[in-house]
Amino acid sequence: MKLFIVSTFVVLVLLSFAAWRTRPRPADPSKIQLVWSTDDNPFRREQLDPFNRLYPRYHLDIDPNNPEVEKVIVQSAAGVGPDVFDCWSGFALTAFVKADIAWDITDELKKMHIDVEKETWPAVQPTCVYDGRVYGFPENAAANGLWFHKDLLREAGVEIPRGPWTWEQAVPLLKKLVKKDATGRTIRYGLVLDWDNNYRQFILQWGGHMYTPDGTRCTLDSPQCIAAIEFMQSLVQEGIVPDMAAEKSLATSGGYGGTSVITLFADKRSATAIGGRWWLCSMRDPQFRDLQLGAAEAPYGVEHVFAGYGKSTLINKYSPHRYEALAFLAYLHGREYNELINHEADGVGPVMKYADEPAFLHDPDYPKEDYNQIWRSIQKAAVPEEVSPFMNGAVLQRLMVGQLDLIRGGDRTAAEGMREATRQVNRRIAENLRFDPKLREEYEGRRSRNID
Amino acid sequence: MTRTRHSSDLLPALGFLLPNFLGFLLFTAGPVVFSFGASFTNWDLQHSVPFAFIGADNFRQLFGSEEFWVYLINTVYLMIGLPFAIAGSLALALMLSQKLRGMTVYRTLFYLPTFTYGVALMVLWKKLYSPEFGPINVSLGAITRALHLPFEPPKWLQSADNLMGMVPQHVAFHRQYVGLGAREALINMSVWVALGGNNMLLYLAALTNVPQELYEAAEIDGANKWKQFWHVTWPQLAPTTFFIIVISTIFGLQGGFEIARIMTEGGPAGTTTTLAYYIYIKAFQEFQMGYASAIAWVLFAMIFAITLMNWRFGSRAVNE
Amino acid sequence: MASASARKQLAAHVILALVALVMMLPFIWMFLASFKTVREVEGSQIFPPTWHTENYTKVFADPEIAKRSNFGRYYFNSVFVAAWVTFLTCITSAMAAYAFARLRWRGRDTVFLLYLGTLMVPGVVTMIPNFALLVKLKLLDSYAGLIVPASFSAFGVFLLRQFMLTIPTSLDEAAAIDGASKWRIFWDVILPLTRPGLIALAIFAFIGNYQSLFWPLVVVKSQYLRTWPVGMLFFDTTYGRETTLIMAASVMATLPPLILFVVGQKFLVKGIQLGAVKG
Repeated sequence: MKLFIVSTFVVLVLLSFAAWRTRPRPADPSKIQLVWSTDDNPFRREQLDPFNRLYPRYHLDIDPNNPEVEKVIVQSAAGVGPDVFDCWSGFALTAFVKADIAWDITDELKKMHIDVEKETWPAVQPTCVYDGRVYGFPENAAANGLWFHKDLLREAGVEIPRGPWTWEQAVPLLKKLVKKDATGRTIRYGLVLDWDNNYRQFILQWGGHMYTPDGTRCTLDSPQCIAAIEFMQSLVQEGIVPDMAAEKSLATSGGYGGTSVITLFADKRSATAIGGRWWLCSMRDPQFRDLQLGAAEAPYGVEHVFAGYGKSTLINKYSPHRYEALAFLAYLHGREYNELINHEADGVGPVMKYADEPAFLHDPDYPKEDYNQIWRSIQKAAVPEEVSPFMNGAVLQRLMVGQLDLIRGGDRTAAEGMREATRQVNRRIAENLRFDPKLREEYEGRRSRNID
Repeated sequence: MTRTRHSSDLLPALGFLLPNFLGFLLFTAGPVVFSFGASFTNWDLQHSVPFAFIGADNFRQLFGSEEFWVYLINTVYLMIGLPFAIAGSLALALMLSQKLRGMTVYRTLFYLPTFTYGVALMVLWKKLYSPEFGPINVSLGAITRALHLPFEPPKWLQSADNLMGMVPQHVAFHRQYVGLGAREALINMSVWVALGGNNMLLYLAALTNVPQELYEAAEIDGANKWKQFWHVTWPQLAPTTFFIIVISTIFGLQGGFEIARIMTEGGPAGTTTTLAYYIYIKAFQEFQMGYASAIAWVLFAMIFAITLMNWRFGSRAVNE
Repeated sequence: MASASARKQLAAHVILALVALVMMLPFIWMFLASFKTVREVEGSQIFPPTWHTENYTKVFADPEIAKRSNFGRYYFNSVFVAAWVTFLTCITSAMAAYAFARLRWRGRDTVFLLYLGTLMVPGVVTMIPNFALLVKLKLLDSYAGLIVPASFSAFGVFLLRQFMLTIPTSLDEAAAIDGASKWRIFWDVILPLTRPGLIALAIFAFIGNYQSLFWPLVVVKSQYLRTWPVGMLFFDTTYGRETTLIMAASVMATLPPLILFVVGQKFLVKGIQLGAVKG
């Protein structure tokens, strides 16, 4: 036993020596080292390569982040955050700003002649513009259209209009696409959609809103919002969309953010799907080579709008290289990066004008993709997410998903669920005000302005 | 009676404790004390409010919130599989400690779920529980059809039902929610993972330390296998059982975090959200570190009380 | 007589084999999935129609992936870090457990309860102070930052204490009468008798550390220091999950703990001859 312990120790010391000897040489000391905290994947790597080539003074590397934000928060709370990091939602931005992590670069960008508000897609701006101040630059923008399988549509003799069309027109067509087996079990659905991330689009299209315009109260219980959710439910009742149990059991290995719906659609379990252009990042994979994909505008309800989203890069306020990190934002603003995003189909490049070039419509590498003008027009009609300074967007999402689960499970009607969600959100707003006098002041200010 | 004569071993004890104690103080006790302090503050990673001590405000708010009680009940409810898991792993260990051929292989196979990457486990269980095509419901359906029972197979992970009829998001009961749902699915799953896991290994280790002479003596006294188990094995395993119960309670009350994060996201309708996951949400989604610490310390107080009871009860069983 | 015991043995084997089969299911599923395409994983067939062995080579050698990741190094790091943590945990825990189980001093049980108490505070709320401490100690982005904080475990102390409690006190006393020092008693008498507990702790410590994701993710910045769970994030992205590559990488990752377990459990169940030590 003693011999074993001692020899283990010797082996470990030898291994340590080996580990120490094989460490890579420190990066080129003449270059300024920058760290970008983002999800580490082949696309992201492809996106940083041109930066290192175009800006030889710098060396940018990725520090992998997990889908949640706690890594950046833990690191920044201890004062050692990354130089630049991703921001996925308007609420995350307010959190980063209030936590004093995000650097206000309004004046810096002005000096660089970059105008975020005029040049980039409005849909993504909540992730980098807060209260009139700019804290970063968008990485991409997205909005959801309707993906379909051309061959399945042909088979069913269904023609989908490319331009604006309504759900009223869509429902009979989608119904025709449903396929059942002899026992009456559905083997192919007409449409799949990720409820948790798409209820917002339906609410907008039915004329509803999350909050009152001043953000002081949640309005998810308005007749418009309830009607929107009731409509989503009717799609399930008509057998067009799988119910919750069917959807979750069809796609079991999906990742986060509703990506399981991609797998469902790409596997032809459904003829159409509501999703973004970035789905191509998965669907261009060789294993899906045989798919005949088409895209159309998603149908609309009462109003012709789409829910936009996207993400931005922010700079860490306490990074010693924060001025150097501006070069990365300049890169995101430039032609190489935007053309690369458009080419990779990682959403749409952040700067609007590059989507207007002919290269965007017809990418010679992907001749089959004949639907890029659709993505452009949807992106133009996309509206930014609603943000309230009084409410944590992540909490709203959690409360809302909780109610959606009950509504979809048949435990609650849409009206009951939405009223409950609203009650919970408004109670949360009141709680948030209780501990924050400054917030309360702003809240009262907004309320009284409205009454006048 | 040699016990009366000993002197204190304080000095050598210090020497033996030191290496562990230094690291413990620095990396465990320090942060723990820090979090205790934090539970009395309004520490918020997001708000612009000045950092301040707010006394017991966090605790007052906590006890007044229905969310906390609902998640506490979830946590406790998800632990009802523990006794079965412990008894099962003891049974397995007893079987595996026999001198049969191939025991090495069985032991390794039983322990496999502990090696298997968490994502693989969870994807597989999602497939097993799939309401339409999953093997569990397919066989349940076959049985109910054969027996002509008016019984619809449960929706498992997609259902907020439970055996006690707890109403989701409220501390209340209603007949409507009686059934099998996500929580029962998770209980099954955790019993299954725990059966051949660490507890079994601990029992195996403890069984090898039972002196063979005791069995021989019992056999001479004419004790049958059952009596041998109760009079020899069980008392000899007492310290291990004590350890397993205490640790299972500690980890059980802190549990459900990984499953909630990877498999259920705490749903449907928050029914699989445990206190551990709630603390995580409060800390890293809502940034209320002070409040999260307060929950953590309420949880601590409960675990500590239970452990003290175990301790009193257990020490008697162990030392006598 | 012989046939009765043979029948009994057969029954035991049948039961054990059935349980083993149920226990193996996820591993079998993972193994089969590692040879499928992403579409086949979602499908209902059990076996892959064609065995895609390229999932394995892809993890290491796919030009796109190899340019950006280094799974060989990640596996080495994981084993290396987990081995150090296991070693240090076992040594420090055994010493502390000895002080709690075999020595008598005032306040012993109180101090021990404090130790135990720290296990009861959920890790989420100690993460930030813990990390801030590492920053202060300048242990960030280093092997030491991965190894040192994980090497002092109250869990290990508790586990080994319980094992040491089962050793008859007459052994210490006999050794003490022979004039052995406390260190000699610990090293020559108690430690060998705690072997099953030590092996169990070694297996727990190794596997626990080997699979941990969050701490390495936060502490490490340089690519060459990443462990395999961190490296795996490369396949689990916002565009979907490359389930097949994840499974291939995890099947390979199972090997080191599996070897440790197979070797360790052999010694674990080898009965200890109390009599031999007594003499």
